[in-house]
Amino acid sequence: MQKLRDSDQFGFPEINEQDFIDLVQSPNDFNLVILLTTLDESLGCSRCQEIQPEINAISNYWKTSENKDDLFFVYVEAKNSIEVFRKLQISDPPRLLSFPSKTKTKNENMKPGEMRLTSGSDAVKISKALNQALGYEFGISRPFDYLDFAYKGLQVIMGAAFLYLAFTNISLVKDMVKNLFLAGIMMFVVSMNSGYVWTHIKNPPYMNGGGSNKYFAPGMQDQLGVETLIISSLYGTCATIVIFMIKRVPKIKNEYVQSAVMIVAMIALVVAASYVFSDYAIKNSGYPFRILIK
Amino acid sequence: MAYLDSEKVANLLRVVILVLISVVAISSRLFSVIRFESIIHEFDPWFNYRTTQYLVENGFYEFWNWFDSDSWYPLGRVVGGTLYPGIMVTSATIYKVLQVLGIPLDIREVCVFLAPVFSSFTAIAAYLLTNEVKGPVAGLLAAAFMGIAPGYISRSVAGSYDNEAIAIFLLVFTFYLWLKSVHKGSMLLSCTTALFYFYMVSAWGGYVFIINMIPLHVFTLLAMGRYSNNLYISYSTFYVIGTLASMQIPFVGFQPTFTSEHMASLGTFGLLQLVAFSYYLNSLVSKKTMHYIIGVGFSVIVALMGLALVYLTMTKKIAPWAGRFYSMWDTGYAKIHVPIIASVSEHQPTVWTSFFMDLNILIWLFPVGIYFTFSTLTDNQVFLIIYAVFGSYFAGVMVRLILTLTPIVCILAAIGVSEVFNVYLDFRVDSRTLALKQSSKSESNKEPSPKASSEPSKVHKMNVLNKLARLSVVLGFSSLLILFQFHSTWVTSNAYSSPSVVLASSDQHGNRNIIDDFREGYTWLNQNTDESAKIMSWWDYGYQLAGMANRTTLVDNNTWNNTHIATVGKILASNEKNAHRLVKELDIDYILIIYGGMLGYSGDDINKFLWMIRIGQNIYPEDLKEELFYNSQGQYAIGDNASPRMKECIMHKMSYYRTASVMGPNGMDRARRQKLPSSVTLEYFEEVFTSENWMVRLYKPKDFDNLDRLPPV
Repeated sequence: MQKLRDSDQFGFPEINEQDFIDLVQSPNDFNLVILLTTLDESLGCSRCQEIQPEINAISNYWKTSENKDDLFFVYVEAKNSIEVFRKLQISDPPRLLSFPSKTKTKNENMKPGEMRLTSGSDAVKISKALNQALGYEFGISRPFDYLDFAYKGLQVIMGAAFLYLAFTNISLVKDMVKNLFLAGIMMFVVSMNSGYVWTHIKNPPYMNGGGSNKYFAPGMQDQLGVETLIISSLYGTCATIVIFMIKRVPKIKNEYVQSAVMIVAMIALVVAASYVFSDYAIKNSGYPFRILIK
Repeated sequence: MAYLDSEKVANLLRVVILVLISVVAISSRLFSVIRFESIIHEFDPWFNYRTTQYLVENGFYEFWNWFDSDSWYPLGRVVGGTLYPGIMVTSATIYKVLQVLGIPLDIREVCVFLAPVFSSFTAIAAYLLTNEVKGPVAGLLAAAFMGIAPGYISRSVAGSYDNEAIAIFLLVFTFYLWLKSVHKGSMLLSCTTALFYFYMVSAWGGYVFIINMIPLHVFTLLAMGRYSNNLYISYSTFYVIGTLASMQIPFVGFQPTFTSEHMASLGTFGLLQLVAFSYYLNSLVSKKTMHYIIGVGFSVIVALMGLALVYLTMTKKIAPWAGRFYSMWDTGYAKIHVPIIASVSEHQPTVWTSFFMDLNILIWLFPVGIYFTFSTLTDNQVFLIIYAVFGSYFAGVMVRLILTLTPIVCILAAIGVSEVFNVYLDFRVDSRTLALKQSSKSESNKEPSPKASSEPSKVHKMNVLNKLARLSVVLGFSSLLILFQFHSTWVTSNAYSSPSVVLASSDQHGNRNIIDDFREGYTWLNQNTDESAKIMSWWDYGYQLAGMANRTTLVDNNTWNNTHIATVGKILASNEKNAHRLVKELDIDYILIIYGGMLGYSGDDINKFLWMIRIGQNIYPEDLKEELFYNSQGQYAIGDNASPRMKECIMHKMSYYRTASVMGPNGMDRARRQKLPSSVTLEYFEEVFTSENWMVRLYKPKDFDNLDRLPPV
C-alpha cells in the first residue's frame, strides 16, 4: 500500500477493480478513503474534474503527516473499472467513501460511510467531513503550481515595468491618467449595470451549449457569462455614439459630411439600442416594446 | 399688452413643468389603488401601518415607550427603541394637520398615498440638485426621469408604505443641501443639511450611505488638493450637528461613536482638522519649517491613529462590521455565514434584466453624463462621480440598492440628454458660425470674388439640409425618451403594482380573478380565535398577522432574534412527534402554512423551506442538515420522490394534507410541477381552516387527554 501511495506524486493513486474488491471486502489495518470518479472527457463529469484537485490537496498534505501509514487515499476511475460502479449501482459520480479500519482507528464505533459532495465542496469542507467520519485531523497542502507562479510572476514584472516607464515619463502620463481614469470609471459603471457582479458571484457557464439559444439563458433571474459581455458592449456602443455626436460631430467643417454623419450616428444609436430591447424580449416574452429589430 | 421679460416666462414655464411632472409622478403610482383598492402592500408596510395607528391613537410618548408583547412571543419587542420612526411621525403629522384643517381623512389613506406624494417631492429635489450642478434644462429632465424611473417607482407605489418611500426624497434633498453648502460655504446651509440628515436617520437605515458618501467626497477633494475654507466650514458643521442629532434616535444610539460604518466620517473629520491646521500654519511659518513639521508631525499622528484603530478593533471597543455591510464588500460572505440575509431575495446580486427593467435607456445615457461632468470637474461634479461609482457597485451587489442608484442615474442621464439638446436643438448656432465664416472669408481674401454672390444661396441650401439632420436627431432622441415613458408605465403596471396581499390572476378569456386568500385566513383568525392565541408562521407573515389578524406571533419580519427564527425553522422541519412537543413547550396555539400548489403560486412555504432549514441549521447543526432534505438523486423534491426526512417533516405534511381529496390521486402540485404525495397522515395536529384557494392553511396541535397522554393514543 505504501508503495502504491508513493507511486503517485500527490499520494492519491488509482486502483483497479480487483484491488477495490480486495480492499473493501477484507479487514485492513489501515483506514481507507476511496473516491469513485471519472476524469475521462468523454463521460463529461464536470464535478469530477473539480473535485480531483481538492482531494489531491488533502492527500498531498496527508502523505507528509506523522501517521501517514494509518490512512490511504485512492480513487477508482469509471472508465477502467466500470464493474465497481455497476455493482454499487452508482450512476452519478463523484462519490467519496470512507472505510475505517477495525484495528487502527481512533474510535471503535466508526462505520464505513459516504461523504456528500455538493457543487460547493472544496478541500476545507471535505477535510471537515473526513474528520467527522474518521476522527483524524486533515490539513491541506496544494501542490505547487509552477504555471500559476510563472503567470503571476510575469504579471508582477510587467506591472513593475509599466510603473517604471510611467515614472520615467511622468509628464506624458499626467495627461493620460485623467483620460484613463475617466475611461475606467465609465467602463466600471457600464459593466456594473450589466449584471457583472451577478456573474462574478454565481459563476454561470459562459455560453449555453445545448439550449435553443446559445447566448441567452431563459428566465429573468438567470444569465450566462456572455450576456453581461453582450449587454455591456451594447451600452458602451450607445454611450460612445452619443458622446461622439455631442463632441465630435459639431466640429466637422463640411456641412454635407456633418449632416450625413449625424444621420448615420443616429441610426447606429437606434440600432444598438434596439438590440438591447430585443435581447430583453428574449428573456421576458411578455415585453411589448421593440425598436426596428424584432 | 403687459410686457413679460423672457426670464419671468422661463421661470413660469419651469414651475408649470415641475407641477406637471409631479402630477405624472403621482398618477403613475396609482395603478394598484385603481385595480385593487386602497390597501397597504406587502410585509414591512403592515408593521409601519400598525405602529402609525398606535402613534395616532396613543400619542408620541406612549409610542416612544411602546413595549409590544404581541410579537416575538414570549420575548416581546421594545418597538420604540428598535425602529426608525421617521415615516410614522411624518404621516401622523400630516394626519393631524389635515384634521386641524377640517379634512377628515382616514389614517390609512394618508399611509397609502404618502409614497406617491413624496415621489413628487423627490422629483423636485432632483431638479434642484441638477440645477445646482448643471442648469435648469438638465434639472427639468432629471425631475422628469426621477418621476417615472421604474427603479424608484418599485418602492413608492401607492400602498407601499415603507421607509424608502420618504427616504429617497431625503437622500436627494440632503445631497442637494450638502452640495449647495460646500459651494457657498454657508454655515446655515450646512446646519440645514445636518437637520435633513437627522430626518433621514430617523427614517431609514440607508442613512449610512449618506454618512459615508459625504466624508468620501470631502476626502477625495482633500486628496485632489482642493481644500477650501468653504469645505472646512460645511463639513465640520455638518458632522458635529448631524452626528449629535442622529444619536437622538434610540435605535441608532451610540452607534456613530463605535461602529465601523461611521468611522469613515470620524476619520475624515479628524483629517480635515489636521489639513486646516496645516494650512493655517502655512500662512504663519516659512516653507522650510513647514516641510519639517509636515514630515514629522503628520507621520506620527497617522501612525498613532492607525494604532489606535487597530487596538480598538482588537479589543472589540469598535464593533465589528455588521453582517449586511460585510455582504456589501465580500459578496460571498453572506451566502456562507448569514443565511438570514442571503435568504431575502432583495439581497441577491442583480441580473442585467433588472437593471434594464428599472432604468432602461438611462443606463447608456448615464456614462454620457459621467463623461461631461468629468470634463469640467468642480467640487460638485466630483461628488456626482463618486456617487455614480459607488451607487453602481452597490446596486450590482444587491437588487434593492438599485433604489439608491436611481437618483444619480437620473441626474447624470439628464445631464447627458441636455448636452445633446444643447448642441442639436440650438439652430441659431449655425447662422452665427456661418456669419463668422463668411466674415473671416471676406477678411482673408479682401477683394470681393465673383463667387461671393452665388455663395449665400448654396450655403442656405446646406443650412436647410443640416437643420433637417439636426431635427431628425432631436426627433430620434425624443422618441427614445417617449419610449422610455411607455416602458416605465408598462413596468409599473405589470411588475410593481401588486399589493401581494391580494393577488390577481386572469383566465383564458382574460377575465380577472381576485385572489384574497391571505385576508380570508387572517380574518378567520381574527374572528374565530381567542384574543390571546399565539400563532406560529414563518417570519415573512409575522407583520401581516399582527396587522390584519391582530394576534400574537412568534417571529416577524424584524428578524432581530436569529435563534427564535431558527427554532421556528426547526419545528417546521421536525417530525410530528418532536414538533408537537416543541409546539406545546412554546405554548403555540395555531400553525399557519402558506401553500401555493393549488394555484401555482411559487412564493409559498415549501419553496422557502430550504432557507428555513439553512437558517435553522446555523443554530441547531445536530438536528438539521440540508442534505437530508434532498432525495437520492440529489434533488429537492416533494411527494413520493421526496427524501424520507422531507416526507416526515410537518412542513411537508401540513402542506399536502388532504390535497389529494381535491386534486385526485394523480394530482399535480402546480407550483412545482411534481406529483402530489399519495398519502399524507397527520396524527398530532388537526386542520382547523383552509382558505378558498388553499393558500392559507391553519393547524392546531392536539391537546393532551385527561391522562396526560400524547394525542394518538
